[in-house]
Amino acid sequence: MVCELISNIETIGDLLVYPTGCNYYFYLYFVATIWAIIGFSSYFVDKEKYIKGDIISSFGIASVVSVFLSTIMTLIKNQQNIPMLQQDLFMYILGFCIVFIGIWIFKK
Amino acid sequence: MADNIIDFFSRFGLVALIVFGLFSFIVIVQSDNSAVQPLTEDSRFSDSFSNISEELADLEDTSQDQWDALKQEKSIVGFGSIVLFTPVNIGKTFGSLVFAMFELIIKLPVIILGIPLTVTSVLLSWLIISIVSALWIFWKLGG
Repeated sequence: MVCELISNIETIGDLLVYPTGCNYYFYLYFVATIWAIIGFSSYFVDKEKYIKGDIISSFGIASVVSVFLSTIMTLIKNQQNIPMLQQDLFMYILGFCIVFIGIWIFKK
Repeated sequence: MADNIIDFFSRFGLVALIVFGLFSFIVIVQSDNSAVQPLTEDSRFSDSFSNISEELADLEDTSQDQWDALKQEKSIVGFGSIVLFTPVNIGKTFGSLVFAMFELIIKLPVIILGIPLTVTSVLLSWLIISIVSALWIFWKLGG
């Protein structure tokens, strides 16, 4: 993919969508990183506090946060009406997160 | 033991409701903010969403039917027990409902993530065995 010219960036939307133009999967990696950071940090905090952590609960919470975050990302668009997070990438995130949310709630 | 069966059914119901709530949240937020690529335009998503809403809407009707049937049933007194046949039908209703919900909730991730069919088969066979075992205990207690 060809990156857009920096001079074409006029709004905050343009700036936020800019990485998508350079790398289509940029925000998929971004959400995956956020998911991993929240999940692991919550797990290790639990482990320190209560000796035994619950990894499924930690990643269940991280999945809920990731779904909310990616929903907001689908709403942000640039002047050419390109969303920050494309529909097919959002579907991947949703499908992945539903598995964790389902296991987490069922386990409770 | 009866608590475990009720717990088993209620967990499936809770998962279905929460997934439905999550889907609704996404649909409402996207439509209110006029998203460029709304999720409802994706056929894979809209199929699962409409199926879950139909299943949840049918729940009240089927439960009401079973309650009516239970009220009309005349109990037969057996040796040290009361024999009722309606719990068998109630068990069948809930079994099919749980199975349908599971299939709907798991269908979306399976299609999107491209999970191999063997994994799905293992999960579904585990579910079928669990439902059959749970219903057998339920019938034994009810019958």
